[in-house]
Amino acid sequence: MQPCSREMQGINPLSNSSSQIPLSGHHQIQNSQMHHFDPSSSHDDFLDQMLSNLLSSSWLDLNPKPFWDDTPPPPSHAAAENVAFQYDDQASLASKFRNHQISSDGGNPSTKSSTTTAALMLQAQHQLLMSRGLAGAGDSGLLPMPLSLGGGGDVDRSRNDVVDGSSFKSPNPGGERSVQALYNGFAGSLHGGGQVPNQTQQFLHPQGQNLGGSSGVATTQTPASSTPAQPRQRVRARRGQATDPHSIAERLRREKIAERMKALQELVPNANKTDKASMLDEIIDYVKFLQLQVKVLSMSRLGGAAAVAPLVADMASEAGAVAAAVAGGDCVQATASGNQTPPSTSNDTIAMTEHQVAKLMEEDMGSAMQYLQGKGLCLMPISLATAISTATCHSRSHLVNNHNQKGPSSPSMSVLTVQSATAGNGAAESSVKEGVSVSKP
Amino acid sequence: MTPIIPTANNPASATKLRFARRFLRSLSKMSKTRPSCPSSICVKKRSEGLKMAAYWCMARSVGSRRAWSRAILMKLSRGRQQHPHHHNFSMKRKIRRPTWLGKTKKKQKKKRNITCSSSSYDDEDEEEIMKRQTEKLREVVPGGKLMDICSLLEETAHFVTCLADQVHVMQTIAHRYS
Repeated sequence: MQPCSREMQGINPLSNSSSQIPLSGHHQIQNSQMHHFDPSSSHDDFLDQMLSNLLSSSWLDLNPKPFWDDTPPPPSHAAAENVAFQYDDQASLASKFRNHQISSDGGNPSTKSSTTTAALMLQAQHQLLMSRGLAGAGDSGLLPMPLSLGGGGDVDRSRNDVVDGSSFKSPNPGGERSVQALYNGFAGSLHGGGQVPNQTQQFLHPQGQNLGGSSGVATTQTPASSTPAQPRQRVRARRGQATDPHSIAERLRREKIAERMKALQELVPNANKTDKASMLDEIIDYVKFLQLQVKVLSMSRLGGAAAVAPLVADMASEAGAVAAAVAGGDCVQATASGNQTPPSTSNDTIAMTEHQVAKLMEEDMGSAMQYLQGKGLCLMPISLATAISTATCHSRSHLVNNHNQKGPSSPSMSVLTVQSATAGNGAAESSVKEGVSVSKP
Repeated sequence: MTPIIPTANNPASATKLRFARRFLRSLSKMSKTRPSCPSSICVKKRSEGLKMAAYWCMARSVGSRRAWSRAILMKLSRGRQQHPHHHNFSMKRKIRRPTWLGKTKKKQKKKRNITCSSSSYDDEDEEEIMKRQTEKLREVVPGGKLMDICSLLEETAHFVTCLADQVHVMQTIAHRYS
């Protein structure tokens, strides 16, 4: 269970040494937190959890969390929980900053680079540890980190700037808020360090008040701590957040899920749904749609008399259900383009196909249909074809056949109308009027 | 074989290239071993086999890195053990086909009933909705039944990218050789 990454080593000495602190429930929370986190995730995931906890705070609004309704917890519990929360957050955030750039950094005008903020964090955490009177074990784990980042002289300046930059009164969407949430976390840790300049304290205090219930971000309020020697270093992490480590783990888990959902949202077209449930529906439909496409392609590639009518009927019904949900995404256009280009580039093959179909139709309708379906084509009444072509304004008058995508097709696809007046088509016309199989859009 | 897949430099499409190569190889093998017979059943089997081959090639290209690819490989190899013919992947009768490889009609009907009954979202707790949807997702994504939600979502994301690549490759091949 012992994590092997550097960052975790930084945290572990924390947890070990914090157990020695005679603070009420700190060590318990710390250890139980560790116990909660370790089994539930891998090492990288732990850091992701911690970071995403603060960075993806925008997702928090989507979850109807009961803690919004709860009154703020009693200060001692909040303080205890917040301190523990602070430790892990900062360590993980520090490591995360060292590894990655914050993408939303540019959104904040007064933002420093991530390295300075990371340095700031580490400094703050270091100070916090010192103020806690922890043994050198915890410090040694963290000491190399600020040194590696350097810029010790920069820290004070950047600290103030960071504090200034964290002025947010109203919840900002997405990354900006998450970055500011981060800063606020730092600010909280700044309070924790006994050496925090007074101006930052005062600056942050009103901000903390403003943040009260506006977002799920770590707010800094006046913590009435159980240790009167350090009046303002506790951070009340979330308003109404229970001190229960279960809820912390639960929150982290939820944020991890939210992060994954966001990633999925970018993959799936029509990702404008904000609701998680509808997003999941969209994802499921998209996966089904892709699998259906694979099925369609595996059929159409066989060439010649490939698919049988019942198969096509199955697929049409499936496609109808699926394509209706995935309305006109990129995939549909991709398939459309995939099948449109052959007709546009080779009219000869189209004419040949026509003749072939006409010949087959004279013998047997079924084989003609099979031939067409093997090519990925279908028959359509001329009236309907003209109607569609004029509706979509994609008509190309010189092209000769109706080619419709089998399975997942959409009405927005361009249809090439029948306009040839060959004798073969005369036969086709008559048969077309009798029975037509059109793939459902 | 003409190189029809554009050579891409980013590592994200390395899987795509591997899949393309494998798939083309398996396609040529299939066309050699099996003559194209006009009977509908044979055609059905062949398309089924082609679909399985596509999934197998994709799973092999991804390797064992992902849970879903491992699931596909295990299921297909289990199917192959029961059917000694290496080119016929259809396992309809002997093994209950995993749902993500293609649903039978019965299952579709069942699903439709379930979705109809769950349409009244107002009365349902949100948790219930999520549970139902994750169930659906688990059925669609290979190997989904064994994972928790977090890894399920991650696997879904990778699976979606690989499926999209697969579809793109197959389309290109079909376009080129049709």
